[in-house]
Amino acid sequence: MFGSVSLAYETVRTPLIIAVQKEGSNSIHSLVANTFQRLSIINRNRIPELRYFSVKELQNPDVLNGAHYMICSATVYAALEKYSGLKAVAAVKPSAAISSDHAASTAIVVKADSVHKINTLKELENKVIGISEDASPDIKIHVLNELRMQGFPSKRFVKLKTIPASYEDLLDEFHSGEIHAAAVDPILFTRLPEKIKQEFKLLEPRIKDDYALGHTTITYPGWIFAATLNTGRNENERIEAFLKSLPPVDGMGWASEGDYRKMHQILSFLDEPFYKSFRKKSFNELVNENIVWVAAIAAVLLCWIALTIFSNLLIKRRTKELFEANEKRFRAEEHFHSLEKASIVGQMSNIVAHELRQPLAAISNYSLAIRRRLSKGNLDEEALSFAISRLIKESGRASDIIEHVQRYAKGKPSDRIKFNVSDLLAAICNDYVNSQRQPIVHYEGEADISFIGDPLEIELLSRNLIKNALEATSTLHVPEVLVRAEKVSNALKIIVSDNGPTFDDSELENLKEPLRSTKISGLGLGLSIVKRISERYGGHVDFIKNKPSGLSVAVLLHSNA
Amino acid sequence: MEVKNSFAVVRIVDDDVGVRDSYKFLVESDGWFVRTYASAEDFLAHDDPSVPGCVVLDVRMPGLSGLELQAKLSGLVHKIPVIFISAHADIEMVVKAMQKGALDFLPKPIKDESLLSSIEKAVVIDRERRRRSTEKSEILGSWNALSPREQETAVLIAEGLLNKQIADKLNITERTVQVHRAHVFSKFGVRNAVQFAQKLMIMNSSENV
Repeated sequence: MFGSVSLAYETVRTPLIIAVQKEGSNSIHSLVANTFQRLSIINRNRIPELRYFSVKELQNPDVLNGAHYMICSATVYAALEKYSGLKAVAAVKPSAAISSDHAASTAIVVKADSVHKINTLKELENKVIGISEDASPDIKIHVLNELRMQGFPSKRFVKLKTIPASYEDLLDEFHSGEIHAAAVDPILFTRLPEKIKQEFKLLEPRIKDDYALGHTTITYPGWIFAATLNTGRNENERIEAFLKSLPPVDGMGWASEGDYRKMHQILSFLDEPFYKSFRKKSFNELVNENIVWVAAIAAVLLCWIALTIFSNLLIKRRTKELFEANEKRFRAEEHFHSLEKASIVGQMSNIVAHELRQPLAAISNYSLAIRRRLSKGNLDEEALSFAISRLIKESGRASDIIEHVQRYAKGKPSDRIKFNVSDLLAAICNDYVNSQRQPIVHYEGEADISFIGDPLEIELLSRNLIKNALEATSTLHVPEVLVRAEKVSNALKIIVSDNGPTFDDSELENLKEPLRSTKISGLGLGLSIVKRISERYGGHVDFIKNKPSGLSVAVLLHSNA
Repeated sequence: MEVKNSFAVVRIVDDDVGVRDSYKFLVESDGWFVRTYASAEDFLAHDDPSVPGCVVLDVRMPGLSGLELQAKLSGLVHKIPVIFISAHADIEMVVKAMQKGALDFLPKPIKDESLLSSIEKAVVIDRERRRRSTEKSEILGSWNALSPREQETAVLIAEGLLNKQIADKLNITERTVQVHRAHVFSKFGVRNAVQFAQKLMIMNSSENV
């Protein structure tokens, strides 16, 4: 009935996990078992659970994450205290010992019938001491520290060998001569049957000790019940009180914890790798342990960085080279353009100089004539008026030519106005007459074609075309030069045809190249100027062979270019 | 100014109509008749070479140049005097033109004095040439009208021989020589042997006017 009620009010029981060091724990097995049993009874809220871990497992700092308490030997505790924050709650104290600081020691035994006649520790020099594989790591520390204290500090003084745990194996090792002595826990040793014990002889027994067991080394702190970081202070105090209240089992009980500074000193002094192995690895140690990988990764990284830098440099260099090449080409083109411009302006200046001489010569002639007639007294009003009108016309022609060249030299766009192309071309044609005042160049285009552009440019273009045509026909008996103009949608087409010699195809190609006139002498720039002007109007020049002979040059000009 | 009274024409050849007209106006200042031509070809096609005068040529012209025209003119019966005008003349060109009988080579810009005095000189020369050319043909006509015996006698008269010497040379009588002499003198319109010798010199001159 009580049970059912109590069950009804049963609180949720959480696990209380107690980690136990496996190696060497059989020496306090009954104490642990008793403690566990009592703990399960006394605490209704917690379900205690024992978990055994080997020393090797404990070296993993994560193993204790889930545990609340830990039962371990002094050396393991020292290591865990230092690196995992383990805190002793109680320690094992044999009933015979005065405190938990003297709870453990080690017995070094040899075979009683040994042929080696080993009676002292000194005689163990160059011998092999066997240590059971399930022995606490404390055994080894005890032995090494004992040898050190007795003046045999060299690590090579004796050899330690891990041997199987069973007694039979131990004997086999002795028999086969693999080991000359064995280091054992005296508690376990005393529990052996008397008959077996007699086969062994304890080396340098300390019998004056209050610790009644026979042992070779001095005494050290023994097993410890410690709290992990997972438990609170109150719980620790309750556990401590509980443990200390327990009666001793097989002469072992829980008492206050000892002074473990000595253990730390010994472990540090012995430079025991086992002690250090509990430590969380520092970065340097990780690096040192994985030096090959680190080196490999570093090498790969270095290679990668080098490759990156190298390719960056290469790209930079290539880019620079490309940029320089571009710059060079650009400069060359610029140079070429300026040369071309200078040459065009120079050519124009040449033509214009020649053309400018004409009005200037005319002006000079009219002036001289007026002066001459004045001095002779035969200057009539009609002649003077004629001469003056001619002077005005010729000086206008001169200034037009100069202005035009200036515009070209400065690269200014000329003023474009709407004008009658037909009238302009017809007037130009009228200038070319023979002695009989008969026209030799005929305008046959449409009338009243208007165009937006620079009349001077159109005039220069047309005059150059006509000049070329006249030169081509100069040797003919009946020269025929026709000028036509037509409107092609928004563009203007000026065609000048002659009946001069017929060009073959290669000569026609040559015509398209500027400055390559078929004329041997002469200015030979007419076509170049025609092309330059047509480019300014976004147009082009076409050459068409006439039937039966001669050439037509057609220039297309856009007024909105 | 005497030369202008008789008919002469100054021919001006230049490809630029404005320049051409201005030369015309300038040359007309001195009362010359002027004809203008746009090119050498135009000149060759339309000029009347029988009209006395001179040619004023621009060396640099499209088509046939002034120098080429000069070469063509020198092949004619009547060599018309040529005056060159050039802005681009070099010594070589001038020498060549003068060797071929150019009358003058004037640089541009032209000076009215030099142009008009050159023209006057040229017209005088042309007219003189034409006059001598006429005289020569007249003398030649008279000469051809003589009989062969008279021609023999005339040569000796021109050499300054006396009638008696001529008679001895030709094995004829002195009287016959006297008749021939009178006939020859009347034919050529001369009064003495010296004047007759001059006429024969003109006839025999190699100059081809």
